[in-house]
Amino acid sequence: MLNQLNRLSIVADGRYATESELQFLKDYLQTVDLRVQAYEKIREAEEPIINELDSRVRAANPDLFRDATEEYMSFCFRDRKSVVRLSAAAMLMEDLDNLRNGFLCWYRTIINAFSYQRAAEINYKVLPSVLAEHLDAQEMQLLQPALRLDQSILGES
Amino acid sequence: MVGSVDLDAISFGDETSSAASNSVVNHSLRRRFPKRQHHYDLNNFFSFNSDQGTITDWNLGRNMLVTEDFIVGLMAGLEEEVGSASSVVMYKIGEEWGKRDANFFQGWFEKEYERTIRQSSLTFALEAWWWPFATQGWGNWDVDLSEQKNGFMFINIFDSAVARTLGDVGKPVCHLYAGMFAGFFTGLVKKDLSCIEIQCYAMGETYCKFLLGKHDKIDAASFWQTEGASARDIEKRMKNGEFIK
Repeated sequence: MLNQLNRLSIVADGRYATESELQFLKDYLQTVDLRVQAYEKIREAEEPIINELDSRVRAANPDLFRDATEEYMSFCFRDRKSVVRLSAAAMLMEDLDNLRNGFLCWYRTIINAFSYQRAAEINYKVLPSVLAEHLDAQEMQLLQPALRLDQSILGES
Repeated sequence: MVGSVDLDAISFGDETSSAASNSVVNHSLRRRFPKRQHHYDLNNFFSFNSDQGTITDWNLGRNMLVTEDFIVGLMAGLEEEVGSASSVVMYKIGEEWGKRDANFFQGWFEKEYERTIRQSSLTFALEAWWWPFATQGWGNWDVDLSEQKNGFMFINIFDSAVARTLGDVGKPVCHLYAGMFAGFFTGLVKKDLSCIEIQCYAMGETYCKFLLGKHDKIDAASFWQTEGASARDIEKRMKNGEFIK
């Protein structure tokens, strides 16, 4: 949203913005209550979401964290929280560019550095199903673009 | 053109200026969120201080933005001054820069991650070293450490600022990068290392490839390259250990 507003201020410099140029703003304002509602639900349920994610990942892949140290797991929990929080923020602001350029591309280099690709792929594939239990269908629809972006950038091997 | 904001431009960071500005953190985001680690987006990494006419990066280095014309001018000017030795001059500039950057990097890394590089995963530390360069526009990279035990390694650079600027000139042009890698890794491991670009975007390839190792290995690669060997040939010979024959 902020990027789109910024772009609008540039393209419409010296003239009035057209109907079609304003459409994104109308669309956003129509969904803003729902976005805030979804964001608040995620914020309030962060701990259960992360714990549920962990349980499901472990249940489906018992060998995944078999040799993981305590420090490794603490990083893993911290990173999952960051992904969920920043994805929720991207949904709230409708700003996937910032999610991609400000976080995911950077985080992916860390995943690669630690050869954490398989765990990341599984984590972020399971995450939408966990979030779907905390959000209604409309809220999930707003969050889906950010979750798909998480999967496409962090889940690639 | 220096000092204008151009997203296609690359940025040169001056780390020496950071010492002077350490007392006052001249970076608005870092002042507010000093512990933030994902700060490599263009607008987060740089602080554009328009009132002072300065650009400060997260590590408090003073930066200047330059256009591709600047790079072309720099290379052409240097070539006019010193002829074919310009590639050596660029390499040496890069080498000095890399050596200094090894110290600078160790300083900010230890401060930010509260552990030394030796206590960290090497692959993570190397990624961390390159993050500022990627944001500054020097391209993305990929390090292949699989031959590290044999005393050499490969580095790929995607979208080299120099090669992209000069276009298809039929020979390697990223001497600054080669020098920088040699200098940085020399400073990091405290052993004299050299680097050669064995494949370049400016030769019509899709990315640049560098070979880093001890002098004798790089000399061998340089000889093969002069004899017309391709990057793949050189890679194969290195992996087969031919340099010791």
